Amino acid sequence: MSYLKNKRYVIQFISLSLLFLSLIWLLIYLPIHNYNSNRIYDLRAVPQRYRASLLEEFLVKQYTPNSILLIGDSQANGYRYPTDMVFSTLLAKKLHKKVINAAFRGERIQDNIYTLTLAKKHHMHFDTIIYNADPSHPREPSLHYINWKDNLNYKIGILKASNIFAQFSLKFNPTTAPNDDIHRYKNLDHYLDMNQTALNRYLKDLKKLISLSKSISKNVIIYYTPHCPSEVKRLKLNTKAATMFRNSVEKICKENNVTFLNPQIVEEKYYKDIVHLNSKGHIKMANILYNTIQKNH
Amino acid sequence: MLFNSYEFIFLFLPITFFTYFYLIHKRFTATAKIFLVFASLFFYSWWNINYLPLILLSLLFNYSIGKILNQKREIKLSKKGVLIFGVFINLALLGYYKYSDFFIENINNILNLQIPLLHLALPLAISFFTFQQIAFLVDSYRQETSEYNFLNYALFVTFFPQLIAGPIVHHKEMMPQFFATKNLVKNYKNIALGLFIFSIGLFKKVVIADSFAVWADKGFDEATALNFIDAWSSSLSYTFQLYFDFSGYTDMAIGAALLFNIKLPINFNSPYKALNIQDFWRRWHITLSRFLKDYIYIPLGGNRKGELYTYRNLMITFLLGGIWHGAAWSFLFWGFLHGLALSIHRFWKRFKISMPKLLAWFLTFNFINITWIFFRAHTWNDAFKVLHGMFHIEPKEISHFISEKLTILEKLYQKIYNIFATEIDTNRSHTIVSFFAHFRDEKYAFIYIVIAFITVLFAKNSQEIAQKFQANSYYLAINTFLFVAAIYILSFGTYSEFLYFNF
Repeated sequence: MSYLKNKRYVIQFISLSLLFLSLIWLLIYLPIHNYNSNRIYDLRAVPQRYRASLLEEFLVKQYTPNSILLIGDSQANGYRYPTDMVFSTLLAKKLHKKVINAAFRGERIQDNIYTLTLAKKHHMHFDTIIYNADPSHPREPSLHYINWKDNLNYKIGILKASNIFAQFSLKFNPTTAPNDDIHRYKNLDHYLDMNQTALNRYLKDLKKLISLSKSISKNVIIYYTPHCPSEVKRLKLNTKAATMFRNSVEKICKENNVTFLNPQIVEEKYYKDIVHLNSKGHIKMANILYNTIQKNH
Repeated sequence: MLFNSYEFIFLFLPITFFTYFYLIHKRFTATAKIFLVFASLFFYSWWNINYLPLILLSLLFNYSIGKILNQKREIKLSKKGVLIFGVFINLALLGYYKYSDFFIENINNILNLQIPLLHLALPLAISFFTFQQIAFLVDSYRQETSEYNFLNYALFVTFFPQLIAGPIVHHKEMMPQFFATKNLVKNYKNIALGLFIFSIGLFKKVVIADSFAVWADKGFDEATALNFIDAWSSSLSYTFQLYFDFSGYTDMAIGAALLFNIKLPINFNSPYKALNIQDFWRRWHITLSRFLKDYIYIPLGGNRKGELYTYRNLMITFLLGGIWHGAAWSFLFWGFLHGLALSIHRFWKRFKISMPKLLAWFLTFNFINITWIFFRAHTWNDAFKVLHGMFHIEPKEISHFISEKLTILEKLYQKIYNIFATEIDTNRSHTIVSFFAHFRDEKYAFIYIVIAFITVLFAKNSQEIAQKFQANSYYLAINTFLFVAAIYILSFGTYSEFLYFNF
């Protein structure tokens, strides 16, 4: 054991501590700081058990009183389009208010409830909460993408699953927009199918979601996820079930005194595929939501 | 500003240190001391600037009174009268901020009145700087103080490492250090030792105390009822939380002060190793015990006036010690229990019957553990909820607990085994990293409690470790690990105030 002089000890302690802390900072905090400041990313790109802590930190970092919270799935998230082109950003510019886009690809109602629970836990209060009710979701009633029961802190996740996090933090947001031409799926069997039991379960969860939303915001807007009508027709999807779903959601909204919105986006030129909006679609959607929020105020 | 915050560790402390020694290096000694006073006041104001005038007024008032009392020649005023006035103003200030609502609440309850509460925020550190200055006034009256200039006096009261929660320093041990020329030179031995003790304190607070806090808070504040195991787990968690929190704070204070060549007195000496209650009070919050003894117990007569008076004096001292901690009947009751225990211990000593060491420790530790319940609980109901659980034994719960914990131990073994068994572990959930990720889960509370018992009973305390400190690679590795680990865990975003900030 080599004995060091006191001065050398102090210098070495400071240097070593700074070295280790810089490594931690460079490897963990810097990418994640960028990552959480540039939302509209795909939370599902990281392993399931780290998503809860990421989402929580994102909400805490982004929250400002009286901002607007957007929850929902890929349509609300703005799938495949850069941040500045999606309707949440356009809406924020029109309203001069912060819109926190906490939606992610495939996000299910259980995940949305969890997001609201986190917001409530941190005593957040929003000007408006917007949620998109998608008729393709009830057919898988138990599906969810956030593991809130067995979650791990993402800071440890970055050390454990370093490969995934490293790749992810380098390209978590799309930087360029795809062309606006519609992509036609070959088939989407059972896409809008649902049985009564699954629908009932969804509606039960929806009531919970509304109750939670009302506890942290005075204005709650539930919009029925618009689908491209020509594509629905081409793929011969079950419109009967979708209509039943829409009517049930509308009824619950009325009963709970929250705004139900059925956006009239019917032309193919607004869609990137059957459900995702293209740049024109995002502008249109931002206008529809802007008018609804103005009316509510 | 909290010692366990990034702004203190990475900004305030280094900036203050370098500026102070830079000014001294340039031979601006007085300016360096003025800077240190201003830095300390900035540190204090970070919490709430509204109370800055309060500490400044208190400082000026006590210095002026001390000056009058310290005069060797006869003065027109009665010195005793000046002392009583000085002590009264200090206590009135403390009473106004700390005890007004408690007093009004009790008046309202007794006389069935509706006097509105004042809801005053307790100025940070008021209990500490008031006691410190009362001691100064009393000693000035006794002609035991020297002629101090205002700058050194201001530094003695506001010096940031001890300002918020002690140790309650005595002017006799501090003033000579501020005067000493050798202390104006950067001393790398002190800096190295200071960094080491500071890192121990930071680790104690962030990693140990804050983990116990999770389980203590759950048991005391959240649970509506507690079973035998949970109640013991909650009470022991608080017992260890309080020790690691407060002794961690003290270590950080001692370490930070050492950077400036100032040696603060030790405040803890392995208190949970105590074999009787008197022994405990010689080891726990030593500077408070010293103050209570020198300025309350002995002036009351101590043990000089016979057995009954001694019991009375003990009781008064500890009732005051209890209420000093907070304006609530539960603190008073806690003080009463300790006063009673010290009286019983004194009575027992008359018979000169020695107790087996293990039994003596068992009785002492459990007494302390149980009395902390009244210290921690916000309401009487919370206290009785924990106590009821602790003494309500259900054999089924115990057998279930044992089998559950054996399973956890087995899993833990498996995890550790997996780390060493294969280089590539495909099932990543079975690694020590995942254990580390869940280190504050309730299921690990008992492991922590066992480790804490071993640590407080068999390990050396930070002062003993510091005495053996040498600037070698062994201590460097430990120091770096403690510091980096604590800083990393701080980033989990759960850093909290020290418990003694409330007192």
